[in-house]
Amino acid sequence: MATRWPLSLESAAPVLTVSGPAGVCMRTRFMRSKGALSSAGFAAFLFLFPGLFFYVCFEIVPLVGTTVLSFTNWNGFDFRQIKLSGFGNFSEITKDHVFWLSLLHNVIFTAGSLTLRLGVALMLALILDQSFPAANFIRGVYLLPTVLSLVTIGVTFKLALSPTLGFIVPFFKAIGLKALAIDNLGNSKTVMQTLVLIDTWCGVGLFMFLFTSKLMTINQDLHEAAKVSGANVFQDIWYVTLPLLKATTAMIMLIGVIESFKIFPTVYIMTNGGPWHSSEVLSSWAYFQAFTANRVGYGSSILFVQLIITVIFAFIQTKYQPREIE
Amino acid sequence: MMRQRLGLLVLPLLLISVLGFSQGKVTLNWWHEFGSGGEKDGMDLLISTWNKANPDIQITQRPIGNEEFFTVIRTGLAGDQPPDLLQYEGNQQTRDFAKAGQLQDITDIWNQVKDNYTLFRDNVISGISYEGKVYALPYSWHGGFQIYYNKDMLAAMKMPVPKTFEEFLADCEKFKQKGIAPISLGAKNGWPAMQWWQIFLAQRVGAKRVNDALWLRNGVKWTDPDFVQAASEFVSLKTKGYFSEGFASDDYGTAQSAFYASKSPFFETGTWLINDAADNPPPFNFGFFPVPRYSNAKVKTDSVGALLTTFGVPSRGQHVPEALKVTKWLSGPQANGIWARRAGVIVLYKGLMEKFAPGYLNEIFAAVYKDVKGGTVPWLENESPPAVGEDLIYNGTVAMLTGDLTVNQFLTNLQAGYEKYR
Repeated sequence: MATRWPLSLESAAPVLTVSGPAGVCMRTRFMRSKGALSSAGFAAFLFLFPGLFFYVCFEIVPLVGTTVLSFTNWNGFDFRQIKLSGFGNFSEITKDHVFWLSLLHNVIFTAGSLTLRLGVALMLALILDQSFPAANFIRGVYLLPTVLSLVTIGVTFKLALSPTLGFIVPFFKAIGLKALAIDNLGNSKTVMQTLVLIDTWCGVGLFMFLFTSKLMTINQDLHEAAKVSGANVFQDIWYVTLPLLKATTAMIMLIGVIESFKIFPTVYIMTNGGPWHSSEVLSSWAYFQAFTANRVGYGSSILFVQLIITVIFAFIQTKYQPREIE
Repeated sequence: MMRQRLGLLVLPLLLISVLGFSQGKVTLNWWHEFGSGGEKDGMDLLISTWNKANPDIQITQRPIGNEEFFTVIRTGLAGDQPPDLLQYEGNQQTRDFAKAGQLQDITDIWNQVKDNYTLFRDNVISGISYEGKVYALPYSWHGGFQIYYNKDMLAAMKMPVPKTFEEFLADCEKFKQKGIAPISLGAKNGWPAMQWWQIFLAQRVGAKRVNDALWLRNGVKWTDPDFVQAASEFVSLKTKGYFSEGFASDDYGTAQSAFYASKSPFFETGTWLINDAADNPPPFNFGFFPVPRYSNAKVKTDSVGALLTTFGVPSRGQHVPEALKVTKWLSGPQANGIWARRAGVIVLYKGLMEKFAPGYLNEIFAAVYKDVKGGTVPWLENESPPAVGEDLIYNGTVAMLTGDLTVNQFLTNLQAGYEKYR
């Protein structure tokens, strides 16, 4: 008996060759199952193809293109004029103070937004885990900002926060909070905090939803046992609920870090990186370089660095991801 | 039998299509940034007039939003999928596109009509040419040396129209004392703040020295004392509290809305507003006055403004000969007359403003620009490398107002930027 693993997709099953009449039957049965498997494989490929096609076209190709362009000094006017420039762009990055400022803003934004989103989402999930009227409705309300377009959110908040035509500044003035009744988006000292708060508002619903889904799977017997042992509500949360949420929290943090680090629409719509780069992030600075300053190569190199940083984050988090507790 | 019948049916259709092809009918695609307003009306009339008279060469148009317009045309040109005709903003864009070999040389067409352009001629030539060759036709010229105002608000305060800049500042102070922000400004995108700074440059520095600084000529530097004075006086409008509260985060549209809502009596912007106001008049008595000059202004003859619309032919378009025919027509008085009549902008082709332009436009042209004896400070970002114009100038002028940059830091950055990127 010999087993020969075929190398092609067409015959995805091993062919077992056995001599004698029984062997002939075995071969026939295996050939039938090989046919069934190859048609199943082909069907799988057909279903996967559209998604794979779009993934390759809109993720892989631009990724490779951006990586290649980051080693050129192309100005975007003529493909024939693309010329490699080695590591010149990366050398320039080291001396570009706006790049380092943008990176710092990305870190501040990620840390601030993630911390707030996690904390608020967890708190909401724990509160809404209790059974009370309208709990589902309230969960839906918190989830709503997640489905809105970031452009819509940016335009709306920009108008709402305008001291000239918005309602938030007059409201703060009316209730005596004069310290907050300023042009928060036009002030370099308050613009980042304002963007973090808006981003938190946008993203807390999704995190809350993920926490809620996990909370629903926790065996109620564990809470009963804790209660019987004399644990109060806070002890129950600390010793029973939170350990069981470790893996979920780690996964949410991974999503949150990657999402926050790539922030672009809200910054572009609301502040365009201003005033004077005080809300500039890597994506907006790369966009300016590539599409306004006619320095596509340099803009691509900024995005390449952003990609490397994001991949490193993701790798570290995945490597040290806590295991699910059963 | 069936096949024969089908063949008899198909053959005439084939013949018709072949004959149609051999007639030479060509369709040209024209990209522009006018989605609405007078200039869109102007484009529609230009195209319909041409199409009626030229059945063999038809034009279709593609309006593209202003914000993404430059990115779209640059991508189209780079990807060898350019339009056949192109509207763009001239000046630095002419230089960039021509340097990349993306525009057709139309010097011959220009030479036949150049004597019809006498007003602001240096600015016109600079906007359409590169290394001695002409690549575009000048169409819209916009000025930035007027202040629009709410006549009702001034009348309520019993204020006459200011004749000097000192009177203007005094009026601003009176409004401020009444709790009204005198000047509506929305500088989130930078250029509205830049336009205010340009007013001071025109009076304290003059167009010649500004142009010298732009091109690093004749030893003129952005850090020279007259430039410092212009920037300092610009910043003083903010320190005195004359700009609206949200000037740093509001955009131009918000500032215009606030002016229309009578939140501020004064609003400074280009001549494009006059056409917009004619179509959508504000709900008050609306007027303008030329920017009043300081009594001791060093320069009393210069203004602010430049070419902002040009028409060119991409060199790698599919139908360059036909596009050049259209361009030849566009260079003449009929097409320019259509533009003067419909687009609601200043047209520099001799004699056409007086003949065709609407009354309100002639009013501002006659009052502010027609008899300008000196030069004009151009739209600085359109004459600068983008990294300077759209970052150091746009963001820098706002940063001076927010206190993130001092005047000296701003001007030093500017000088260094021009030295790096020119």
